[in-house]
Amino acid sequence: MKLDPRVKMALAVCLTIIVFLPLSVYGIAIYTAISIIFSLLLQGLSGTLRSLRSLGLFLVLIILMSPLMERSGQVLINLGAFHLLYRDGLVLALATAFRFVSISMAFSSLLGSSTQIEILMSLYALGLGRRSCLVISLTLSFIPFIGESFKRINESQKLRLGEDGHFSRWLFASLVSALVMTLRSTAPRAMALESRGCMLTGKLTGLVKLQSPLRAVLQTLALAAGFAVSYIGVRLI
Amino acid sequence: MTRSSKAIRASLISSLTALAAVFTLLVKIPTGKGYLNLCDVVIFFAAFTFNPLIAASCAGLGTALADVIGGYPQWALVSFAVHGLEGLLAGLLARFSKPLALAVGVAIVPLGYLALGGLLTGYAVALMEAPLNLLQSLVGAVLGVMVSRSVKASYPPVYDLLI
Repeated sequence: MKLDPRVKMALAVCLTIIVFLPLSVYGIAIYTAISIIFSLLLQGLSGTLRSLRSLGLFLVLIILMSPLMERSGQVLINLGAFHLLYRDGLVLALATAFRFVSISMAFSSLLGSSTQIEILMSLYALGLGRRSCLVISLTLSFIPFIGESFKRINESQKLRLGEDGHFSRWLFASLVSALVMTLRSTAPRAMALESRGCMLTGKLTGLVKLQSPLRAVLQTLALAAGFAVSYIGVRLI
Repeated sequence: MTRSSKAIRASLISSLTALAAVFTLLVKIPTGKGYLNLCDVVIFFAAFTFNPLIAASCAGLGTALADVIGGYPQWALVSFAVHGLEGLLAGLLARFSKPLALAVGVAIVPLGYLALGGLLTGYAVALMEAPLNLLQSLVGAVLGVMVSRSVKASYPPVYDLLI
């Protein structure tokens, strides 16, 4: 399914807000299913499975720990004289787990099915300033370079301090070197930005454009109407 | 602000943000319960060297982008809010008292993740993670102060970047 990135952002926000509204555990489960369906449509089966796999550890922790916070209602499991699991504890654990999956899938499908430029242009279209978008864009282009440089610095410091060099010594030396390297490159980068006219005010030309805002508005309205109707339906059930 | 200082500010924020993301993603110190990352080193360095807005921008944005790149986009907003507030408060308070800035900055991380992370994973899991967050923040703050002094000594032109 092809959705405008601005609509995907609205979808992620809607799915995040709706699971915090007063709903039964069945209601939250329905919205979790909806978020998984959206993820399947937007980023396919492999992307959805990859996103679900990354949630595994947290889901185990939520299922194991959350029931301990709510110790009221009917006792479901006894361990000798100790009441291990209460009905309300189970409901809390399931609601928390479904909510976590729903929010995670909403954001994963947004990011997994959009390119970096689409997300930045959507943020710009939704009101984020041009300079903030420039900073995010520059940051994303610096991360691989700084990451690679940091790895090289780390290896050099390990070699310099030898095998018996203490972990904290080479870590500290690497952190200082990485910071100095980053600060040294700030002024040349600023000059490069200026020479490209990045800080000039006035109308800019662009190579990439999003689709017509009318289509995005219509899709968002349809989505909002769908969520409103579904919320009333889920509440009535 | 002149045009030149705007360019330097954009370049500085994006460089420090990228470094915060790299320290979050690449530097992992193993502990008994998991890993500590060192994003707080850059946050405290920015707070003690530059101004609160630069510290807040690189802290919030750097950790949020690290979450997105690392495959945990659901945490991006929480990280943005918690670490952004950490950078902002540490930067503001550092003008008056550095020990107070350190204490508040260190306390914000576990408390923020407890309050906001609790909404995501439930308060039982958030409570369980609080000691690790506190340790990470504490290690980051101590290293941040040491690194800050060392960088200022070894690279004096850092003062020219002050805006």
